[in-house]
Amino acid sequence: MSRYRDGDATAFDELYARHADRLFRFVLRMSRGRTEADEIAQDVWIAVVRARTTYMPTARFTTFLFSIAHRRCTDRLRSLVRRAKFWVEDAVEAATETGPFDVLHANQLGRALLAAIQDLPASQREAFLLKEEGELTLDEIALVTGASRETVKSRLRYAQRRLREALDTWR
Amino acid sequence: MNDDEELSRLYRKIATERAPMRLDIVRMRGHPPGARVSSRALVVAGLVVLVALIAARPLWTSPRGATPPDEVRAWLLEASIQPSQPTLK
Repeated sequence: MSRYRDGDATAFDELYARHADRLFRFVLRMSRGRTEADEIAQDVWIAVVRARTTYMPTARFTTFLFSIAHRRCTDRLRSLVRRAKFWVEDAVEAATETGPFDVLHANQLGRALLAAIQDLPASQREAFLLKEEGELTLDEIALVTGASRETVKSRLRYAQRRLREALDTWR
Repeated sequence: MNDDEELSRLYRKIATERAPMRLDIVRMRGHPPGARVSSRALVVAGLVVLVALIAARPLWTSPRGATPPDEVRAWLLEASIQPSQPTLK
């Protein structure tokens, strides 16, 4: 990102190639489907482009990237809550749409895990996805979400426990 | 391997969705440095063309009241039209 800020346009391509899939999967599971996820992910990348001149490397780039994604997803969530919509079923369906994942449709355990992730409360789901997709530490997740380290730790613990319980029925 | 690690491993195994390639759209909408330079170059090129057109104006039009060239005068006389007339229809 520092190279990009200093005028190296190819550095952006590298950033995109390295992080696009992980960011997309995070946004996909925090949104209602591929179309919405695509829009949010684009917004996040555009925000990165526009922030290039003011970017300060105070944290890892992934922390910066997922902070923007967190804000975009939160904004979208608030707007949906205002309209009193809920999307668990849509999101489960979206998470199992066509693509490489088709191969794994037969894998009931995988389906169960994705469904269980979508059933998590948004804050727990986000903590889990930031850890898995963003590979962020507890402190970094706290920075991204604005919660305390202990709160993040607790959310993560609850999320993991619920996911394990959901999977136990398939074992 | 503990339960949480197993959970991570399973998740990473099934989370294989790929992001749609939107690099061009992002570049275009985000106006990265490359695109901004291009826009600037386009504006400069437009100004150069405009100045060139203004400079070349006498080549295709003459100021009102200027004496027409000889061949035009001859044609006007032949057509019995006074060349001093300000406008022709």
